[in-house]
Amino acid sequence: MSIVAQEVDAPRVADSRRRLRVLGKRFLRRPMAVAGLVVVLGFVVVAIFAPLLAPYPVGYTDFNAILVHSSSKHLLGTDDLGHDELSRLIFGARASMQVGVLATLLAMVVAVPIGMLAGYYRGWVDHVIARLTDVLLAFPFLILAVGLAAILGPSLLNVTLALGIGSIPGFIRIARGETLALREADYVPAAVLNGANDATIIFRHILPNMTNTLIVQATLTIPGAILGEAILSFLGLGVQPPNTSWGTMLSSAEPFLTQAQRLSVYPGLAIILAVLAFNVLGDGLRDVLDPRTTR
Amino acid sequence: MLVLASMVVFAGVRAIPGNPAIALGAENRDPAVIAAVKAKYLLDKPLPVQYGHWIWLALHGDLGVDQRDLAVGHTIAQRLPISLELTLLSMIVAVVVGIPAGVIAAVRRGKPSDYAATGVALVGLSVPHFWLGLIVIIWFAVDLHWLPAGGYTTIHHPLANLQHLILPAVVIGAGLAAVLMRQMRSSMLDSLGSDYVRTARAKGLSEWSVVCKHAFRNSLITVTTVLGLQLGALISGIVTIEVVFGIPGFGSLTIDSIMQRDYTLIQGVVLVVAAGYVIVNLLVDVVYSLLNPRIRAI
Repeated sequence: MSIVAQEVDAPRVADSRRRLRVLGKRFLRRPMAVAGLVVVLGFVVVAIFAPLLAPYPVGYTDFNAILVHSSSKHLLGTDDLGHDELSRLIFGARASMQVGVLATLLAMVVAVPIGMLAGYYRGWVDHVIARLTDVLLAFPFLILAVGLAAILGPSLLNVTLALGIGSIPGFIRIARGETLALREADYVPAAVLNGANDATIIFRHILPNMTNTLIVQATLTIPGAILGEAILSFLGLGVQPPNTSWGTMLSSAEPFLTQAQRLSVYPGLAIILAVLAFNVLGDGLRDVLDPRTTR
Repeated sequence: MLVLASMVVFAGVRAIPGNPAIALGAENRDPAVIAAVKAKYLLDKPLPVQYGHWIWLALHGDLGVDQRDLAVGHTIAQRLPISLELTLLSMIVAVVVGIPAGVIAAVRRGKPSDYAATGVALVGLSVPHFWLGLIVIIWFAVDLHWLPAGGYTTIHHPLANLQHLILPAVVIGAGLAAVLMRQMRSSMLDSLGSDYVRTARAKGLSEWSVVCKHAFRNSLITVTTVLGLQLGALISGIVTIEVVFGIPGFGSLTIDSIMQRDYTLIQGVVLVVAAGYVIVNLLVDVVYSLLNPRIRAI
């Protein structure tokens, strides 16, 4: 038995390596996607090493420099409380990346098994799950997130939970759709003939075949969550001072629209750059991983 | 489905922390007053009884009264038209900008105009609505003094009304236009590569007629569906933009009601949103079948 398994496995490993190399080559041929990846990695590095990179610690206030323009001491100037803008932007990157990635992971971990159950077993399980998903999808993502954030109370963790829960219905729908299609593939009856049980089929055969779709969907959900965090924090339902995020920065900059417009401009540009990078990366990954949509 | 949605709303609203009876009793923490408030709003009854009472009245068009003793139905009826007008204007902006841009990008695929349109659309997808709102306020209201920075004038003064709504409509429309443009471009490319377009070209139709009559009409089918699916994003845009521009519409009502923990108001507002969603999806199906004869035949 083990010999047979080895014989089967050996070419499979070589295959998957070759496939990765082909995909890597295809990816590298897309300059936009590569640029997106570089920027995303840049933001991730900034987020991880924020305390080392930021010139001033969180909550540091310089009362001698309130609303000053950029100088050698404060590269991007300071806000109305004497916070260094650059430091806030760097710590804001940390909050945004954290919310984007964790909310998406949370949504996937909850939604994918549920969607796969619905798609695999169909029948009443599917009916109940699909109906509930429809109900949740009837609430716009933002209203759902605002409501959840109001229930949970404002904090970074709760924003992550709210946005993660808000992203669940979309992921359920995708996992369900993919499973519905994949369970009709020829290798499913073949696995059944081999004596595979449901769990084996779902996790060994169907799940690996939908990873591409899930990766693409995740890359496109993260920017949604980053935008969502910005909106919630802007509305006062998100990160609370002295902690900072790009949305909080915009929210505190709003009263100074006439005096210090740069306070609104920098965090906005940071959000655009991060979201744009994820969107471009997601588009590129979709082109590479899913030949059906390649144009 | 609406019944389920209403239950979710009801349960969700009850999960918001804070005791509305205490909030309503204001400074007065006298237990007798709080009990009276609870009795008035049925807060002392079990949840299913509260739900039954609410849904029974809602079915009769009565959404109850909010914390300020104003009829929720009346408040919504006052605020909703403002947001609907804003929605309509935004959609006009989105369609007028997004669809031609998508067609041009598809027809001129790989040329500079395609790259320009695709690039702008990509940025448009990544810009937070409310930030764009702040920026256009800085430009057009603070620096140039062309348009008011916010607020709202009723439709009885059409010009002032439009002056107040044009900036928000452009901001919301820009995001939607980006989505429409991308969808239009990809479905036009699909259509232009299909057999019937080759046939149309082969029988000597002009390029104009091929693009506009054959490819365009077929591409509209997918775009209509996408427009319907974008409703959620559109509502999110309207909510934030109304807050940024200080427009007293349905969106700012939604945020206010959540911030003030006004149970009946939140329930009413969210129920209206969910109902609107169902109705729009129904409309999309109808339009879809009008545009696509293959579905009508079935």
